[in-house]
Amino acid sequence: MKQSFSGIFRRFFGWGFLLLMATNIVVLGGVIANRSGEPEARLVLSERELQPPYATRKENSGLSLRLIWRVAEEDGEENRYRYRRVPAWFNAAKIAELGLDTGSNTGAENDDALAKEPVPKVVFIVLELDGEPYRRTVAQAERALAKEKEVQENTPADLKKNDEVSRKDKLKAAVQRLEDEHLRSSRLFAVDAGLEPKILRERYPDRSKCIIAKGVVEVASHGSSSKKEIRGRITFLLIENIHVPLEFRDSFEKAITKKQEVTSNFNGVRYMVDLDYGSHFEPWIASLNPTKVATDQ
Amino acid sequence: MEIHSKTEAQGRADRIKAFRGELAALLQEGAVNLSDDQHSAIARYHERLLAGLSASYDIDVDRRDAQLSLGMKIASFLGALGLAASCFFLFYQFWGRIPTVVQVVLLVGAPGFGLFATGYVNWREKTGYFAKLLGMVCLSCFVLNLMMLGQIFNINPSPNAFLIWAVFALILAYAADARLLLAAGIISLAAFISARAGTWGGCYWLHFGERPENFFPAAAILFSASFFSPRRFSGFAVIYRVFALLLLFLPILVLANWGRISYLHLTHDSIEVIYQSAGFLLSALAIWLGIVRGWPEVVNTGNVFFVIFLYTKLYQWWWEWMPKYLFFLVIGLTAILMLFVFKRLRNGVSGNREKEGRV
Repeated sequence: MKQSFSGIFRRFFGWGFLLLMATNIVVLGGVIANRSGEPEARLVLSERELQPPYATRKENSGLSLRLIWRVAEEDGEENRYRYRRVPAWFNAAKIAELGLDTGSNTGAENDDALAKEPVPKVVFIVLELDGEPYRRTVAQAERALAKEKEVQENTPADLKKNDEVSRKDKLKAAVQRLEDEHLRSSRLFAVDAGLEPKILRERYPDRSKCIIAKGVVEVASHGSSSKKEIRGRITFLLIENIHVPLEFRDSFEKAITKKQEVTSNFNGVRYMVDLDYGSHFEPWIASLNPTKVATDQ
Repeated sequence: MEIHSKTEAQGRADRIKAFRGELAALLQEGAVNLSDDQHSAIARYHERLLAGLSASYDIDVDRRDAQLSLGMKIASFLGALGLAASCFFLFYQFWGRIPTVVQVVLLVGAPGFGLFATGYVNWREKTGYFAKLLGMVCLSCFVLNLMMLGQIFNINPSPNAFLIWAVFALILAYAADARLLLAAGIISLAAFISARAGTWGGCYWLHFGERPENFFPAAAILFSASFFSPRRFSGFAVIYRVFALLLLFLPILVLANWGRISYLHLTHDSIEVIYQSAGFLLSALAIWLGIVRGWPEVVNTGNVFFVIFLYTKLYQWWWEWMPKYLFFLVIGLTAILMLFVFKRLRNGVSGNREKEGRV
């Protein structure tokens, strides 16, 4: 049965419009609140930490940069799985501090019948730029290169051809790894996690080097089958793709016209970004500038 | 008899058509005699009634109307999906090249305009198909509104968006009497309730699916909501009940085979036995309830899941050791047995329907 337009008006335009306006006011109000006052953190990141998308999509004209971050594993490990994201500091004590669900997993075999798939949890993660973990990782790469060079020097002359090729490849890989650490790899490392951002900020007060961002963590098994233990893993940060506003698109596109050759010829980054984090721990790009490497043709 | 919805109006029109056919047969066979006055009075009454119902509810008076209506429903459904997707891709195509302020104005303005257009068309056009189509477009604009604001301003994702979308979809559904919008609202509401249940259970809300028990509160709420849905909204109660049962049985099916992801602190085998038993019991209960209350959709859903639970169990028991020909023979014989059972159940539902005067 059709009603008068005023009856429909009340139902549609009344409640629906109110909901629409209220929602947008709350969302935009939250954005303003996040960006008002002094930023919670302000870092100057390079292309190494904020990389362009893997591929441009014809159907999507928006642009976001990917926040690239790493974790440092124990000294002595070959670091073969650098992006596994099981940091050395995320041990049983930290798991207990964060109140993570271990799923009744203790690593012991007789718990298997009771073991659960652990559920992830959102916590605050501290990311440090160019700090101790990064320097340690560089030192690891330098030690690995020195070791390979020593092995090369001590290699007997009558080595089988296959072994010789393998040795040379390992040396080349070690050289590449060190070069990556100096020129290409991200200097941003996850160094801690907690439930209270204020406490984390007291522990890491340098707002120009340390970001506090929300991320998802979970419990994971770590180690070989004979030495299995329960450790924590950082699955992802809630915001890892950061939108580039229109006012910076020209600068970005000017910067990336210089091709980034992913070989030893690449000598620097093409742009630098001022990345701010607000009171809601949500980031935004404050500025984006091409570097001299990019502007020199 | 008071008519509250299009479904009831269509049911009345169908009964009139059936009555006319049966009366003609009775007159031809000499089973009954009606005078010309009586015949004319009945015919005039039915004509007036059908005209009134057609004007008020846009019902199908004959088979041709019914076929055309089906075509219109399909066209409206496809049109709604197509236009909704088009809104998304249109914005994605151009948004990166427009300033932030313009992006925000467009994102907020589109659902507002869609809301007004839906209301206006619903008032002017009696079939309701265009209003439903515009309603879907309006909803997709609102979803785009929040999603894109989240992307532009790098906002941490929140399950509250599901609640807002659900409320908006439900407003549109009840205003335009649109079951598709109701389904969209229910899905969104179920996602919100399940995500909240997951958060209370200690997990990140996006991972609420990792503990299927998170869906049970949503199932209970939706089933309860079916009792409060006003009769003038065609088939809304049915949709609430079907979704409620899906949100109940699908998690039980998963947990009956994968006890590791349950909240219960028991061994995996115990959990699987508990949920397998619950699956059988609850699906049988659904069949019984559907028969008693005259809810065929509840009976059918209960049937489907009872069969799924049964065949899953048979597979677990016999697949490994039984010769395959024998296994499938057992499946076939079980199906024949189920046919006899369903036939008896169907007669039970039909009997209840006749009793309540729904046929």
